[in-house]
Amino acid sequence: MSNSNSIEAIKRFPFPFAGDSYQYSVNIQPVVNEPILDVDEHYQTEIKLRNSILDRNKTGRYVNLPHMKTAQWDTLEAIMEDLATHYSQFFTLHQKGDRWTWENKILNVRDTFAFLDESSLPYEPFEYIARQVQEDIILLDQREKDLFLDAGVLTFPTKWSIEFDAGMSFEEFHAPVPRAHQMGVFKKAKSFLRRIEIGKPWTRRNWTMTVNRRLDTSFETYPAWGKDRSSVTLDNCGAKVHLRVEVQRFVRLPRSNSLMFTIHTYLISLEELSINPVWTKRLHEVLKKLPSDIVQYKGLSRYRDTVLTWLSQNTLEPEYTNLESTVYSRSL
Amino acid sequence: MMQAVKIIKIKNLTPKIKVFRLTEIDGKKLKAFSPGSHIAVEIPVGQKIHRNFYTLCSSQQQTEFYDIAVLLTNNSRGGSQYLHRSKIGTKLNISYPKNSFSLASFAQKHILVAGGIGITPYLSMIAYLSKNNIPFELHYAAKSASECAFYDFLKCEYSSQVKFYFSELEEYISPEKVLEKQPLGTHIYLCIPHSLRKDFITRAKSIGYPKSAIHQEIFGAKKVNQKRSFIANLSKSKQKITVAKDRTLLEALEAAKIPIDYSCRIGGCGACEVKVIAGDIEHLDSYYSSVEKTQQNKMLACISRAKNQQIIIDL
Ligand code: HEM
Repeated sequence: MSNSNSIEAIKRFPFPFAGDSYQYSVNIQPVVNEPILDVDEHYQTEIKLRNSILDRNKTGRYVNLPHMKTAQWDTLEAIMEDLATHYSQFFTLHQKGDRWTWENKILNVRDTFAFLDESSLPYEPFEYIARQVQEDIILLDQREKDLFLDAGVLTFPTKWSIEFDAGMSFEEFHAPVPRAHQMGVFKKAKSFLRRIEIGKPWTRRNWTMTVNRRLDTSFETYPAWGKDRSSVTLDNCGAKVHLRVEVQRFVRLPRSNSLMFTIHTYLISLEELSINPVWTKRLHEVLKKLPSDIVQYKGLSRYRDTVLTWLSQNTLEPEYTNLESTVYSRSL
Repeated sequence: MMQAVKIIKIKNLTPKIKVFRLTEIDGKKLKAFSPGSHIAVEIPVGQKIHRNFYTLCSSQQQTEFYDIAVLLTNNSRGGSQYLHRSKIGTKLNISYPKNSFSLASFAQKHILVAGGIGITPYLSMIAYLSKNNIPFELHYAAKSASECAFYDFLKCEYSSQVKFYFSELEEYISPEKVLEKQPLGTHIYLCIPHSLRKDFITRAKSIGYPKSAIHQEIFGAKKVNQKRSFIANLSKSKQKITVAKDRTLLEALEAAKIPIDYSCRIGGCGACEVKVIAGDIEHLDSYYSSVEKTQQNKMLACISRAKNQQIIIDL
């Protein structure tokens, strides 16, 4: 199983920093003429991983409160239309009234079903489509001027549990995040999200670091990966430590008026990252200045200094950095 | 985001209310919508385009068409007159549906209160509620049966759940009677004239309805401050933009082809924020905190204005 990134994947890596420092903010940008979801070279590997996690035990991975039925169908429709529009070589959708035929050529899936009729699909509509995308998907019910985490498939989280957060409001599930509440970030973000319109999706990037190329850093599996954080040395740092970026998207769902929140997680090792000296330099600056409460919240305390040393020793002078333009042509 | 539609059916509901049925003309499916949604309709008035808001009154199960009910008014900017003069086949540009008056997902029961044209958002709601067997009552006040839009339809389809009040017959809604003896978890929805709405809210609060169980249609409630025109001096592009008294800064910037982002257009999301270098700002948004408002260094172009005649913006 080849897990590392090809040179193409490295070039299109969604590097999260536009400058030399990082602070929490309402960093939301419009998505224009771009797919909502990304199908990349890790598609098959990640789908296999997601299936195996869901098949083993759905507890803590799958939440679906009964009032989210309509939102499930909205999700299925939004995703199928997005994939069939932007990746027509892999996916097709034929709609004849309520009779839909969906084809996924990568996974060899071809199903005909009746839209809004759950009995015509092998899984609940939400689970059915979630097993065919790399993104984790959270569905938020919008009511009482707030957003509630009432459904979701979460196999690749950064140390949070959808079991624990199920049913919580926007500020409740963000409770563990330091300083952003005091800065008013969540109040503003929520007010923004509540007003997102049909057909106008938005995106933001979140980042952290992960030791080893591991997507499933869930609360539930903490015993299996938590100790890795003490295993970083200057020798293994470049291969072991990964910058982890979540490209998140926010989409208004039409029938349910719910909000779909998708998370595509990208991992890149420091070695891979270092082919672009602008990136290593910038990451170095950001990490150096990162406030200690955020360092701790992100779980970087044990190996940040090692990473800083590695980065300072492995940053070439940015002479041949025509990568920069490639990278920033993808909107942040 | 716009959809191109044409009128395929027109029906007179009352002497002043017509229902228009709209369907797509460009081969794209109409966007699905949630109960209580509205659309903006672009109406050409002279050289300008106005955007009028109308609730969708068809059922969300119906994906082939939208129905909108339009009350003919004199004071409007001409939008309702334009539509009332339109014929079958007239083409219109409309927005995607938007919802600022949605049903609460966990309500045990829904009490919908309508006055006159305020009935429109409830039609898609009751279609949804009755399909899903969720308890509701509709209380509907109008002048008389002949001026009561959808009277026959409602009487025939929902007779046991609808109560009519005709002022010509001296029948009036009593907030007390409507609100009392309702099960815990009841939510109320108010699309009625201001004074009656106030009575309902006062009564509901005194009975103990939580604030979150009281819903009001808000799309018309945008604060308007169109008193004075002002000049926006753009420091980067060295342009002077006049913002007429009936226009927003955002509209004026768009008209001048200055690239600017926007989303909600009602001062809530922050997407159209601009930096202000000099000049006093009259903040009319619901986005900034009071502290941020006093800093006087940024504003939302879709709603806020200059306090005085000039303002300098970093664009
Ligand atoms: C509606 C969709 C959203 C959901 C479901 C969501 C959920 C979460 C969750 C579960 C966490 C982890 C909290 C923990 O440690 O337990 C988190 C972290 C965070 N969220 Fe959100 N979030 C959403 C939207 C946003 C938006 C719009 C912002 C914009 C400011 C935001 C900013 C953050 C920040 C800054 C963190 C801390 C991340 C870090 O430093 O690693 N979130 N979010």
